[in-house]
Amino acid sequence: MNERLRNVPDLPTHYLTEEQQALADQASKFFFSEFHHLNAEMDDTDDLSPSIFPKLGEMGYLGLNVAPEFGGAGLDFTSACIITEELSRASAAIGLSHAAHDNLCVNNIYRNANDDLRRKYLPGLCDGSLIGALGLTEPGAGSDALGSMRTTARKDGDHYVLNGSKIYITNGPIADIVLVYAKTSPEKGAKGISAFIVETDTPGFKVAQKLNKMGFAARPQASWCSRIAGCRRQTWWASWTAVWQ
Amino acid sequence: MNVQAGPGMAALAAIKANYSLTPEQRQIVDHVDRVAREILHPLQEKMDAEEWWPEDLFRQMGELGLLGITAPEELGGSGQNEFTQALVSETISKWNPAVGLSHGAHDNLCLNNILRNGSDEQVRKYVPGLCSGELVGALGLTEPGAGSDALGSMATSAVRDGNDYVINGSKIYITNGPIADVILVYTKTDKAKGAKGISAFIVETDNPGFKVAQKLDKMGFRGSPTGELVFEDCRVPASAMIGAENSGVSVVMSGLDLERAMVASVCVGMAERALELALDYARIREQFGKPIASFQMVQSKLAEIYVEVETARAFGYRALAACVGLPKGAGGRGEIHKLTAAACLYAGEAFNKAVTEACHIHGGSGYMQDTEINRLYRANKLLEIGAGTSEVRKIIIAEELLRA
Repeated sequence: MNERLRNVPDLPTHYLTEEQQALADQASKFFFSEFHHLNAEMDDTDDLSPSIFPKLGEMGYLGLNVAPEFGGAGLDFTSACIITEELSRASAAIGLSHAAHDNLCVNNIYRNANDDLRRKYLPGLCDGSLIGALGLTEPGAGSDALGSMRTTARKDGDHYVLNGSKIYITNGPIADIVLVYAKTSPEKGAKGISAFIVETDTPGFKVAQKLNKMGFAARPQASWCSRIAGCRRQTWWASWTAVWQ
Repeated sequence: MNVQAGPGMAALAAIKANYSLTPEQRQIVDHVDRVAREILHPLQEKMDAEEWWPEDLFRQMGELGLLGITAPEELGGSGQNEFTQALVSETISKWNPAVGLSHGAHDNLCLNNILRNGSDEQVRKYVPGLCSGELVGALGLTEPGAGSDALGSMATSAVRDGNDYVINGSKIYITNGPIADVILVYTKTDKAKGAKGISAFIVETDNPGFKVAQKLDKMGFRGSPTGELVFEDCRVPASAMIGAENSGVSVVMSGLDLERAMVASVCVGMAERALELALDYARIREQFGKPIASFQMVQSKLAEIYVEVETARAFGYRALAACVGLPKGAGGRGEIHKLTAAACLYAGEAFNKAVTEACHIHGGSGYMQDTEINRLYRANKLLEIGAGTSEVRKIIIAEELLRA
């Protein structure tokens, strides 16, 4: 038998510590009392109430893996997953939106960005005043996300200019901050990709459409197809790009 | 081949004789395919988005010859058998599942049922209007408290009062309920007798005792109007009863057999469309520099979908062939009961597998509600629930197999 596939029962990988169990119980209680009753209406209207993210932030459920000095909860990754599980149990749609925000955007910035970027964005993302999203998939780039990526970022003096579109982006229509992948050296294929933080009030950004999904309709504000035309950003992103690669 | 001599032989010969389409059936299918593609297919999007039923659609279907497939020509019908009716259902459902569902409820559940079981007077009174689309038909069996146990738990009652019957109760999930003019309604006329105390009535919906309590918001087949119906001291003349008092159970059970054979065809039409959409998408969608159809894991799915479509069709047609010439009052038991339940069970599950894979091939776009493949995917669930759940279909098959 393949050693790597063997189940080792001694490893308590799926047992919770007492702290984690207490965290799960408290989260479950809060999410059910605050969110579960919203599901029918969210599914019906396909709208996420603006009070949800601030409420999650106030209760300490945003920035789960982010260190307290940046406003986060400082939890280990397993604990963050436990909270995601409990939130999804109470409301699948809020769970999806939360995961796109907290894992795809916030934790990504926390793990990969430089301190300037972390200090600039993380406190707002952790208190719920900023909503995050991540933009990878494109109309022509699904399973072949890296190879077929068409969105480009061209260096122009102290800025990068982004052009292209992203689709099926969870939180896209309500996000303040989108972590966007773009090709800075298309000829290098997957090795020519850089990541940028785009603020959605940048004039070159727009939400082309909010998409009408089959499920999760309570919505993680669905998805957007943004056209990032000439988003100008400062060079300090360039340093971050370097970190990323 | 292991063929046993006995009474089954004649039935098998009849199945074989009817198995391939006649030139006339081919001609009808071609006509329906063309009008369904040109007229009904473009209606899908708005019907689904708004639960919208085009107001004059039944009349239009009447003019196009899509109604009264089994009714005699002198009454305005096409004079065809149930096999051909199912081919029409299959073809309409392929291009517009919601219209296919409403068409089936009208043409098979209501019109064909009146034709088979109604008196000459009832047939003359209702069938011409149902054939022209001037009247819209529906059938009311399911109730809030009576689903799989439709007969046993039926609470709607009809009480004799002089020359009338007074109906009280409610029916739910009734296709065409909100727009129907004529509803074939099952009621209990003798509660003490259980299933043997059921009678069928034709209720005209302008009756003051009838009302539509609500139009329901469905997951799939959106646009086909589905409703909850309430009968409150709904007074109908004794002449509205179909057949004799307390003889409704044979009407229900034989009607359900034909309905299941038709539902199998609905599944076949929709599965065929799912295959077409999956093929189109797999050919045009490129990833990793090639159409995804060039990847063997996608090819495997396409092959499996094709097998589901064709096996469901083969089994469905076999069951339909057996329905042709089914004598009045027959059905609801025996070979036809088992065969139609089995074809329906198989087709519902085959369509589920086919449309799940076809939707998967569409990736993210298949998850968006406004794509055709997503509409097909959402419609699937009903086909394993309506006309008897998959479990009820299995019970029927097993009971017939085990009958001594």
